[in-house]
Amino acid sequence: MSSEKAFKTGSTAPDPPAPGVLRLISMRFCPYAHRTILALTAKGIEYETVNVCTVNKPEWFFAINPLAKVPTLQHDGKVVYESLVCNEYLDRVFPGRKLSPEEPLEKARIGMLQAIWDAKISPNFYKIANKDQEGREDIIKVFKEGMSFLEKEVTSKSFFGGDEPGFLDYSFWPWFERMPVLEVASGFKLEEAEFPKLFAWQAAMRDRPEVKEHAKDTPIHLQYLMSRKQGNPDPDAGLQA
Amino acid sequence: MPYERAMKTGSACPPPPGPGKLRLYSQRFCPYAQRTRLFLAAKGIEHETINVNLKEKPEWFFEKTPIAKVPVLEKDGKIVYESLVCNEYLDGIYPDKCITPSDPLEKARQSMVLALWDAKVVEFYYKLVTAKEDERPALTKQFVDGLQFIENALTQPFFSGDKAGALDYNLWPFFERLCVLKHVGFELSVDQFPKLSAWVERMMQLPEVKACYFPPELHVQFGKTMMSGSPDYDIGLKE
Repeated sequence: MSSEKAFKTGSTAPDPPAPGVLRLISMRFCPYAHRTILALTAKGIEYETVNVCTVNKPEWFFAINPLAKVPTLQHDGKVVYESLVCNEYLDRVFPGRKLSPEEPLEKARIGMLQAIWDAKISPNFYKIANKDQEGREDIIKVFKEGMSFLEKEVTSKSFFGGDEPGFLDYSFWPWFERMPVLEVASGFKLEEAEFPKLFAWQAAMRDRPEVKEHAKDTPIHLQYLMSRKQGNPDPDAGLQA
Repeated sequence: MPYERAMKTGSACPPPPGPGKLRLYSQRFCPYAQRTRLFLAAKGIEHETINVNLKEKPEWFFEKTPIAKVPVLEKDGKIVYESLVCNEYLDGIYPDKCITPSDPLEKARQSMVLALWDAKVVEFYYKLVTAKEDERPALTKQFVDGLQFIENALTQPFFSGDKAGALDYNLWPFFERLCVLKHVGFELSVDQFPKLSAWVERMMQLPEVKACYFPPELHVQFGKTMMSGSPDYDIGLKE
């Protein structure tokens, strides 16, 4: 069973997934869940989706994952959560294209670039959308510093993963899809002249079938973010009634 | 050993380690660096250590790692940073005595326990150390509630099973430092946390834990210098 409409606080728990069925607990606008959706699609893994509201969380979700965060995977009684833990698990357990290298230094490089992203880019992302954010100039400086590391890494290859996207490409992409929101909200955008390789990478990613299948446009991302800002989060934004 | 004292701003960049030699950039009291020191000790890997002053960071340190934190590994021109990345890397290049679990679900499980630790415990740990008296009860409750998740995750003698493994070493440094919470009234009670208390006893018997261990008095002493704003990274070193 797949459920597009999000389960919220007070909802009855869905039946567990049938034997052999992989279930993803998700939220249609969550960038972290988006990472795992990209990995699942890239590897051609069959799965069903149950969407939840990540603000007004259903109580039953805490019994599955004490952090009650998406993405969460359920598979024959096993539970895996944390987006990058999910992606590594899927890569190792399911067949299909490998998203991560085996060589220790290559693997370490992924961890280090991810750490730079976590330190300089993702914590600052939505702060930049706020025109009145205190220290916005410095925040933008750190954000761009982070982006310059990505620019350096994506030099000689099309993707961070090489000839095809891999672990890091799917880890970073969800925020790039949402980057136009920053421009609408506060006029901020990265300049192609400053980050030519990142821009080429973005074009290449946008062209990928696994990215296209799940792409959402800027107006709907904005609609969701505004609904959150207004205190009435709408994870079902854009769904037919 | 010439580099035990923490190198600081203005210091000359040390020459790279010799061919085939492993170097660890560390800080004697950093719990994250201790994770990697535990892996090195458990795997019996020879290495040299350079300690770094994390308040007055040497300029050359930013060239090694843009995040300028410890631990950092350097070998034959290759640099690896981030404690968990370093630890997996060590298992990759020294495959004997592999500590990182090979089973994907077990590896995922260990990562999830660390995520629980980060989300439910760490924040309150640091807040509790500097908490004013009236803040302590609420923070202590949050800390204790968080620690219960970790207690529940411990279903065997060690987090990793019959023997200590990655998750045990990655969590241990924080338990070695629980003594710094004594002054705000928290002690790991065997009634409240029977499994964690027993695990602490077991860990303290391990040679690799003993090799990296600092006694409570030293942790408390260092903690005081941290809170005063002038961390003394060389505390306890002989003159």
